Parts: sequence; structure tokens; C-alpha cells
Amino acid sequence: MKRNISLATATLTLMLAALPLAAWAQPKVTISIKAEKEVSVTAKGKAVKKRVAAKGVQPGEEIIYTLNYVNSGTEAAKNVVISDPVPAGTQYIPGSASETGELTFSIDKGKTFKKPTLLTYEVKAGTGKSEKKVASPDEYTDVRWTIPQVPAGGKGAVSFKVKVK
Amino acid sequence: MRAVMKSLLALVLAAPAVLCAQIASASTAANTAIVNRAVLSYNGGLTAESSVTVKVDLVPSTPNVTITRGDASYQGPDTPGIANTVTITSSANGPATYTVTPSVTASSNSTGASVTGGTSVVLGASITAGTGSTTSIVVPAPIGGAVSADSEVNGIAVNDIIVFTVNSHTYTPKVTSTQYNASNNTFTIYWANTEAIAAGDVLGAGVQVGERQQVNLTAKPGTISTLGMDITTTVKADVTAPNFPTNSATTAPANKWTSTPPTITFQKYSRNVTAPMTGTGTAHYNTSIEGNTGAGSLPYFTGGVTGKPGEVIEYVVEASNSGASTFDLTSCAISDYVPTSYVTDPLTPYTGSRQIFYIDTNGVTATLTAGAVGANQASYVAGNSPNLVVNVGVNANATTPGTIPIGKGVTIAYQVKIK
Repeated sequence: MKRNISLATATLTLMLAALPLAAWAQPKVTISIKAEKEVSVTAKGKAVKKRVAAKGVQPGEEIIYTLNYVNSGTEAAKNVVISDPVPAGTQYIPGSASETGELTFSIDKGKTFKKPTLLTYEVKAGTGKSEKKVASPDEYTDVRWTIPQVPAGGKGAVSFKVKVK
Repeated sequence: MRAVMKSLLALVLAAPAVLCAQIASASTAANTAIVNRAVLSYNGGLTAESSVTVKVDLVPSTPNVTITRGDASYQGPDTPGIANTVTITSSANGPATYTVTPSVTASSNSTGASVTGGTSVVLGASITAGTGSTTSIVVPAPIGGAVSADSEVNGIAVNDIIVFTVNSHTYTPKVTSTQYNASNNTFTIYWANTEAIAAGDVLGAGVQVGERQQVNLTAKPGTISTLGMDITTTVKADVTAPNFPTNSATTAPANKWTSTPPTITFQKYSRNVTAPMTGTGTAHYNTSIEGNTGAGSLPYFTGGVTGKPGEVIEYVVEASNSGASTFDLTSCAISDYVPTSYVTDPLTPYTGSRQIFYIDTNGVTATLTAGAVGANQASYVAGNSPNLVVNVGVNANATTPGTIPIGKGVTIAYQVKIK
């Protein structure tokens, strides 16, 4: 019995010693969003475009969203998925999303994601037959990037643009 | 089963497609919060989130402006004023302060025409963000606005008149309440059942809704130049808002004040004093005009009187302000030309050996000396034309013609001898 107690104590000690190491060796990924817009400024007599923080926008203007992510943990983060609904009152600008990892879109408010060419739905034609239609970019409701791995200490950014309705 | 699933999927996917088609060209209300909230997941369950909010700015837009005009009867300087009502309707996507600046751009038959009034008003506005009902619309909740029942929503509050057009039908309901919808950060703005819109005109997303207000101006005619002629004034109202295009409205046709001309009765009579004519004549005094009591039997004639050289002729001139006139006659003087080639200068038959007998507007009689111009109320200068001038009426004196009030009259008389 005494031997069993000693064995249990030794096992518990080993487990407690191993726990902090396991907890510490984890990925920790954070994300931040930046909203900007392009304005034209004159520098040295030439008109150039400059990005500024989009505090206020007018209908018809474009907002550039940049999503920065960083893994401040000590282990790689796997299967990193960034999902971002296209904000209400805006519409996605075709081709504006950065090609990082696997880029997919949704037209059903994030229930399903597919590549643009596979985003289809059926409508009934005048003849009564169903026709398959490829969704246009202004119908996209969500954008998603799937990144296989972000190494410890690694960081990156994805971005897309919308137009204010 | 597979076919059913396909149909369901088609329905689900078709719905957003139709919605997008309706609002593709729509604008967004000012002060709307565009919220982007991203979620990052990793390692099969760990997540991180971040969000950013962008505010939609006010887009300058030309307000709709109209102005009313009016008619009145001129009563006197700047009286009466005519109300010109300026109606302003916002066509913007959010609230703004509009200033009405009136001016008179044209006037006729008066001096000093003017317009008063003009002020600043705040007009609310928004863009619908959802589907309403026959008695409501749905608009975004503005950033920083209150979110309780009956809150002001982008400047739209209870009792405001809002204007929107759908299917070529323009509606102007009065707001009865507002209700915040926390689930989607919108407000529903309601109006009374009595103002319900047609079921087919229920607003979807993307329709501009603007508040309408009125600003009252008062157009004043100034002082009339010619009695009996109408006065017109054209009033223009400029409506401005910071950074907005200015819009104006002009009274068309112009405001009009009608002017009724004074009705003046002016008649000259005569009688042969030396050899009175028989007949009834048209004016009657007692044995002489000096003894006038208003009901005499001495006839005077408007024509047909004859006389021989050496005989005395008495002339009576009556002037009165009568009829529909609403104005006193001002600057009144009776002028006559004594034909000195055929008759003498005026005789002095009246009390005090004076040339002129005068009955004023109150029936009070007097005799006047007719001398040099400006020396007395009456003047006679043989070489002038006219050579006999008598200032008559209230406050008439040696240098100033007087006033004959409405319904009043004056009379002068003088005598000459035929040469």
C-alpha cells in the first residue's frame, strides 16, 4: 500500500511538472481590423493617392478593410480560418480580396463557402425550367480565408474592399 | 429528395439575389454605422475577434423648395402684408440646417417694397434600410443617437412631416412614434392609420425620406406710386445649407395688391347774380351762397347761363371724395382760370370784402382774400394759368394743399363782372 501511494505521488508530480510546459506551448492568434479609404492628394505638383483612416465615408465610396493577424504563441496555429461578413450597407468589390491561403465566399450569410466559380444558385426561367446562375460578386455576403498554418511568431494580413451603397 | 433540396437551395439563394437587385443603386443614410466584425478560428476551436466601425457621412443634396403668393387690397403704406410660405423638403441622406433668405427681386407701382421673415430650420432625413408597412418605414439607427422609443432619428421626430415617393406616388405622413429595433440596430418610424399608404407602395430598402417644413415670409407693398393702379412684388427665397447646392423659389405670378382709385366728384356751377335765370338748376343755396344752410332755393346751373356786359356772374365749384374709394384725397387745391379777356378779376362781394367764399369739409364757412401766391389760402394772379388757386381741405393753408377725407367735400365761390 505504501508503495502504491509512492507511485501515485510520483505520477502526480510528473503530471504537474508537465502541465505548465503543455499550457505554455500553445498558439495564440489575435486579429485586428483597419478600415481605410483612398484620397487624392497633391505631392510635389503631382496628384497621388493616399490611404487614410476611414472614419467617415459617403455613399459610393470604397472602404479598404485590412485584417492583420499575428501568432504570439510558441506553437504554430493550424487551420486558421478568417471569416468576415460583408458589412451591411456595403457591397463587395469584385477581385478585391487578397489571395491568401484558400479564398472562398458565401452568398447565404456564412452558411456555406465556395470558390466564386462554384457559387451558384438556381432560378426558374420563363420556360419554367430551372437554370443555374453563378452568383455575382455584389451578392457575396461573406469572405473567408483558410490558411493552413501560421507559425509561432508569424503574422500576416488579408484584405478586401467594399463600396458603400 | 435531391430535387427538393436543390429547389430549397435555389429559393434560399435567390432571395438575397432579388434583394441585392432592389438596393443596388440605393444610397445609405448619413450617420449609419458600417460595422465590420471578423472572426478568426484556429486549431479546431480557438477563436479571436475584431471589429471596426465606419460612419456614413452626410451627402449634400439640393433641397426641394416652393413658395406661395397672394393677393390683397392696398390699404396704405406696407399695409396689408401678404403671407408667402416657403416649403422646404430635404432630399439628402441625413439631417442638415437650412437657412431661408428672402429678397424682393422686382416691384411695380410702389417704392420701398420689402419682405420680412426668413429663418433657419433643421430638416431630418434618412434612407430606408428595410421593409416597412403601410404605416411605417425602417431606417438605420444613427450613430450617437438615442435608442429609446420616440427618439429623434436622423432629425426625424414625432410630429414631423416626412416625404417620400414610391411608384410615382408621393406621400407626406406625420410621424406619430419611433421605435428602436435592437436586433438589427434600426428604427421603425410610424404614422397614423388614417395616413396609410397603398399596400403596393410599402417601402423597401434604399428609399430617401426627407422632412418637410414651412417658413413664413411677409411681403410688404411699400408706398403706392399711383392710386388706382395695382402694385406687384416678386419675392425670391434662397435656401442654403452648409456645403449644399442652393435652391430658390420665386413668387410667380408676383404678389399683387389691387388699388381702387378714389372717386372724385368735381362740378362747377354758375348763376347770373344781376339777372337771375328762371329754372330749377342743379344746386340750391339760400338767397346767397353765404347764407347757405344746405337746403336753399337759389338755383345754380351747370350750363346755359347767359349774361350781358356789366352783369355779375357767380361761380360755385364743389369737390368731394365719394364712392368706393378707401383713400383720403391728399394735396387738394381747386384751380380755375378766370378769363380776364371777357370778365373782370374776382370781385370782393363776400364778408370782409374778400374774393373767395369757402365751405370746408365740416361745412364751416369762411371768406378768403385772394392775393399773391403763398400769401393766403387763396391766391389770384391774373397773369398765371390757372390764375385762381384755393388750397382746400383739412389742414389747408397759404402754402399747403389740404386733405379731403372719404365722404367729405369742399366748396368755393367767386364772382366776376362781364366786361
